[in-house]
Amino acid sequence: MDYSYIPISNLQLLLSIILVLLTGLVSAFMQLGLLKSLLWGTIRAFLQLTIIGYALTFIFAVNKLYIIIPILLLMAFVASREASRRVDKAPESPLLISFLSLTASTFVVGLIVVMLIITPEPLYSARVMIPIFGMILGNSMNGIALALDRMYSEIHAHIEEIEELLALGASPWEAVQDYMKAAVKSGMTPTINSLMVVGLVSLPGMMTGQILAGMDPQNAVRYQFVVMIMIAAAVAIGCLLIVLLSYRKLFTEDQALIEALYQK
Amino acid sequence: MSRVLEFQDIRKSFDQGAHYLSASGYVDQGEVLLIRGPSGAGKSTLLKILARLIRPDQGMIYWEGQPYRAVDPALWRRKIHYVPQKAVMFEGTVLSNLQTPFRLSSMSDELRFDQEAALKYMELLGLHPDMLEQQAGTLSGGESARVALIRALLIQPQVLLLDEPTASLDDERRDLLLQVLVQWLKEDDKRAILMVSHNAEDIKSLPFYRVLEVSMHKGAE
Ligand SMILES: Nc1ncnc2c1ncn2[C@@H]1O[C@H](COP(=O)(O)OP(=O)(O)OP(=O)(O)O)[C@@H](O)[C@H]1O
Ligand SMILES: [Mg+2]
Repeated sequence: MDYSYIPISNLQLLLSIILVLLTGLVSAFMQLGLLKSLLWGTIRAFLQLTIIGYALTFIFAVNKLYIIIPILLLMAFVASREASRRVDKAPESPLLISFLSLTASTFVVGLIVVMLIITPEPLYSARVMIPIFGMILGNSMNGIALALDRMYSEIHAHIEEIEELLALGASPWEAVQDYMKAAVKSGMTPTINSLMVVGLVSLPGMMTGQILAGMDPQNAVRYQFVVMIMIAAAVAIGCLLIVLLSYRKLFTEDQALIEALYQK
Repeated sequence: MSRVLEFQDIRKSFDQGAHYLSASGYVDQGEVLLIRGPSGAGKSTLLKILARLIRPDQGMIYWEGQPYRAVDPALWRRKIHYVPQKAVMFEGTVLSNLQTPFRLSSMSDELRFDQEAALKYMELLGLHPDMLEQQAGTLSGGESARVALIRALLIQPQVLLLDEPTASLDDERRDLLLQVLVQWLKEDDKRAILMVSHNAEDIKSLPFYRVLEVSMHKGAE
């Protein structure tokens, strides 16, 4: 694969500060008070990306499973922390179940993509696995956060119906199944919608990157297609897992709703 | 007379133990136990505890001598059945609402939805048969309350836990409802009713009852 990409020199990188100045002007002009955050954000983005750049160079060079797997798990952990931070209605922190759902869905789908579809040499190539798993995690993270948030809002909004169904003899699953379905659906919908418009509204970041890096568009499109259906599959599995895992915790051993659900 | 439901030293605390509800009592076959007490006393909470919709902090409940832990919760809730203060109607018609419990997997096979019985109860409670096709969401408060009661009667509970069943009804409908309940008790001598009521008129229409006063205690616990 000889990609004829155009490198960015140090001088050119320095010139990109013009863009930061433009952003700063908007903030100053509208008195948004964002200058400090903008400055801090720019510095952080630069430092984080630089460190990641060196780290990836090192990891790709070593390319051993005992480095790749802990890194993938760390990525899954960071993603699950972010997902559970966004769900404020949960009676207890969903960190652990988020981690389990994200890890399971990401590994199942990621391994199918890497081992069966892309098949790099050697099979466990960090250069392939880390970006692929990263893309899956980023999207699944959004999906499970949406699904969990929806699940708890539905339950809060329908607590009397759930209680009535239980009183009429419903099993816990029968009492909440409509809301569980709505939750999984809400987690999956953005991904499915993005399948409809991809390429029409905007070119996805990954494809843009590959084209800029010199890959011919035909090939970039193939990659992008695989990536999109892979994301859809991972989001679906992740949302299903997180909803099933949280469902258990909604009920007491006496099959009544846990009290914390009545509080908020 | 034998004891249908008995509860001993039920305790449930609120506001991290600042208040607590404590109650003991029983109801025998054919009896009505009236639950009374000021607003916020914990009457609804007590009924929900007896229906196993809320777990008490402590206390025991026995149904015909069996401790509640020994009975499947879904069966318990159908047999010792709670009808809430504010009737809950699901999406769909009144007919579909009456059929809801019969779509649940725990419903035993012998018990089928009986439209004749539904229509009979509707007539007794002053509801027009055409109402079966009406969207349940459009019912008035008093209509919903009666539909909810019919739904409860159709699943053939043994003990009805009624939370202010007459609150949204005028005098005439209230009398109809109480007559239906008294008749329901007589049809099978194993049955019993626990009923929350603030209404003195309710009591006049009941031929036999006992009263349990409930109050919220201030508590260091
Ligand atoms: N889930 C809950 N969380 C916190 N407090 C609750 C909860 N449910 C009930 N309470 C409180 O418990 C107390 C008893 O409530 P309950 O509904 O049982 O009273 P009640 O006797 O039925 O009153 P009313 O006659 O107004 O219906 C009230 O102070 C209520 O605010
Ligand atoms: Mg009440």
